[in-house]
Amino acid sequence: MTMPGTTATQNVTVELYRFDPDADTAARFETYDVPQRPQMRVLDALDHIYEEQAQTFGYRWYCGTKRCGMCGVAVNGKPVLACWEPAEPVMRIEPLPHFPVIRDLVVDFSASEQRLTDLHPVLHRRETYPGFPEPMSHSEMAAHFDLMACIDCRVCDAACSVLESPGGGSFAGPYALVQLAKAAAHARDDGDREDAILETNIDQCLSCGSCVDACPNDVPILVGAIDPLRDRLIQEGHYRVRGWALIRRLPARIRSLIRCQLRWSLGERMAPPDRP
Amino acid sequence: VITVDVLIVGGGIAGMYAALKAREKGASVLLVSKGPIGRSGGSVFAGTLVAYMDPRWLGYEPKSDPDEKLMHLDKYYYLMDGGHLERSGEFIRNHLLGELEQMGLYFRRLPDGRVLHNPTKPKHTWTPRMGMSGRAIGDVLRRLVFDAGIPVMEEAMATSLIRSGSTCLGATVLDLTTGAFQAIGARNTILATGHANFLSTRSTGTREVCGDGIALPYRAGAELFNLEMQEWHVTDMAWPRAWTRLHIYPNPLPVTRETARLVADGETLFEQKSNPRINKPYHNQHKRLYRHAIANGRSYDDYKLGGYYSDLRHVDDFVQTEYSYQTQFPRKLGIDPTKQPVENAPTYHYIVGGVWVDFETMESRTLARLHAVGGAAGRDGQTDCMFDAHVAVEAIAGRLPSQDDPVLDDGQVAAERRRVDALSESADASGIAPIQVKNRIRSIMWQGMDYVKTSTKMSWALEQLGEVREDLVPRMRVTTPTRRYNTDVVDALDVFNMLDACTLQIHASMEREESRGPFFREDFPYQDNENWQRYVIVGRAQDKPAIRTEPVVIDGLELPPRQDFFAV
Repeated sequence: MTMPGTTATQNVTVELYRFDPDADTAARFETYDVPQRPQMRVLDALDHIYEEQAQTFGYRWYCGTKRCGMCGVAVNGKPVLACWEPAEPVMRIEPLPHFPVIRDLVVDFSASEQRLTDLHPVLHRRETYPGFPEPMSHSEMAAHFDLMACIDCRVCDAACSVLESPGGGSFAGPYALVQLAKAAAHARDDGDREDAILETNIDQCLSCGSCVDACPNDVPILVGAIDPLRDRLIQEGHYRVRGWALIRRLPARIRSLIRCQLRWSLGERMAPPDRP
Repeated sequence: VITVDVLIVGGGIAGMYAALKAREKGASVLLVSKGPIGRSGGSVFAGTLVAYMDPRWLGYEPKSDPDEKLMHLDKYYYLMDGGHLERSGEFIRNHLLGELEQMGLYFRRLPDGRVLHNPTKPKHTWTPRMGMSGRAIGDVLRRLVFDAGIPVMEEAMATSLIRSGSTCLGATVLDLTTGAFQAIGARNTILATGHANFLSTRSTGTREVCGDGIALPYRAGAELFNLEMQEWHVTDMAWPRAWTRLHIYPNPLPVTRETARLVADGETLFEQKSNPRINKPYHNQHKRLYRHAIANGRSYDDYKLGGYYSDLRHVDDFVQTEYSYQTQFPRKLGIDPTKQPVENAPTYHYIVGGVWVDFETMESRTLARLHAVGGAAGRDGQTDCMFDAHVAVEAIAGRLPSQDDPVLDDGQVAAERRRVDALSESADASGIAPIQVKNRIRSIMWQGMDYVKTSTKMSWALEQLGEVREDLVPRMRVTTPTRRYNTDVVDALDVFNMLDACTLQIHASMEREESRGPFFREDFPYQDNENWQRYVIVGRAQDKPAIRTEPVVIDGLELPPRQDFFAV
């Protein structure tokens, strides 16, 4: 096993995105050299600049151990959690794409949070709760359990090839879909979820799998969240998708190859029934 | 000025539960959290759910353990109100577990439908996996808080408590995202700031937990207790630095009697519940490991760490991957924990003490209308913290109808605003950055307030903190005046809070001339029940810490006058 050394033999070069909307007219990059440490994380490099070089800048983290989900950044164009991914010899570190920048690497999640809240992703239980422990098997809850791995980091949203603005009126993005699907997948949930699912514009998802590849916690975003929500709409007669049952069985990577066709099919969306 | 019935400072599990309960009572509520709610503070690290499970739920009758309450008082929590612990256990068993499940929290089931548990520790359960229980509860509560439309200020730091005489009337708050300063008048304030973890170089705490829950009530005139009681972890990963706080549990893993073994040079130094010789007392093993790290650890930057390993090779791979969140971390580094041990190091955990409250109401005994719950009241464990919140809200609800609006002292608010504004107004990139002062304080605590305490080391630490106050603080400058997410300003405010929290902790530790629970003094290596079955209580008099003690009366607990097991 690699031992942590006392002296650094080489440096990591960090090209850091700097932008304060109150003070700067445009973003710029500043370059810092950070001594390489064995098994160094991206976050370790950021901490070194902030703490040892006292070049304070805006960046966000809380736990450092893949729990809080607050340290997402783009490293060389790829959205990652800074605490989880290893530092690379040369790193261009930018804020997560698709989110408004507050300052430097810190982005604003508030619109995304509000949009999710409006979908009411909480358990809607109509039947009387029988008391602890509720008779329940793990297999009944397996779908919900898989989605419990989501730590709300929104790295999936940043990687999404459709999403433009998570707070806006178009596609809500994979993160909101995971959270909505998690609530709906609870074995005791009997909430009416159709309106919420329609509101996400789930039909815009290309099933390209970028979100799945980016997720630091291996959440089955496509097969565990987006597909079941789509199924629900299809069962309710909101979509007519040719060959959907077949397409659904394909692995994400294969599906990404046929995404144009899928999009075309999903384009045949029927008008939702009138609602009071 | 915003005025609310209940202001809650702290958005962990205790704070969110208090917010939901207070809203149910019809109170107007504002929740202020220094980090994102349910996703920061000690709550995100709560790996195991202490559930006080009813043996009938487990489908078997576990071997009778020693009386839970006495065991806590004798060995772990030390000096905690026994009645409160007992009421807490009843509430959790008879009410809370059901309430959480009803809210949608999934308690992991075994394939046969029983709730996931452990054969040797029936009070432990997990949702959904060991290492992630705090996140799971946090998720459920956070979504409910948002769904209920409860006003929340996230990433907003309470900078001071507002008071009038000996009554708390609210708090001043700095919004990190916008730099806005706000006074909040509250008929009642609930302090739910959690533990003060991040006070030492290697610490388990999240970025923001820097002793606010000790410093703010202290400066407002509330007394604090048990500040000398401070926990250490010995099984946190030695490196990388960001993962300092990644805990490889030394507790039994779910569904097995096996635990991580801590080994060095072929010898097992720590293993729970297997080897009586090395198992008693629990904290003595911490001391051994700490010493081992000091003597044999690697030098990494300016401190020693590691030199011993947690070994999971005897634990079934299925258990490791299916039930534990932690084992993916060494795997990410290319270390397979089923084949290789993982290097660990001692890590400062948290202060077991907090605001000296009346346990019937969780209200401060010296600052009225200030309630402290969870870590801020010296409590531990998510479910116990929620019980505290329940007690506080019940007490507040009873008196809400007869409460007047708080009348804030404008001078007090203006002075605090000036203190906060002055930090960004005097920005100067050539000064000493606040983060560097914080790290200096942490380094002093790491060296002077480690696991093995002596009067000499503690005096040195106190002296060094004095130098920081007199020499570094006057030269400390935030580096940028920006109002946007200026963590420099928060760091600077943290410096003042850390100085108070650390100083109080050292004073309390020097007062206690014995060893007990997680508190070990090399110069008093024995538990002195005759003289020290007492709380150390710290208050403020003439702007200085004032220390007194009070006896702890524990029904049914008879200990020998002196126990020497710390002398090993």
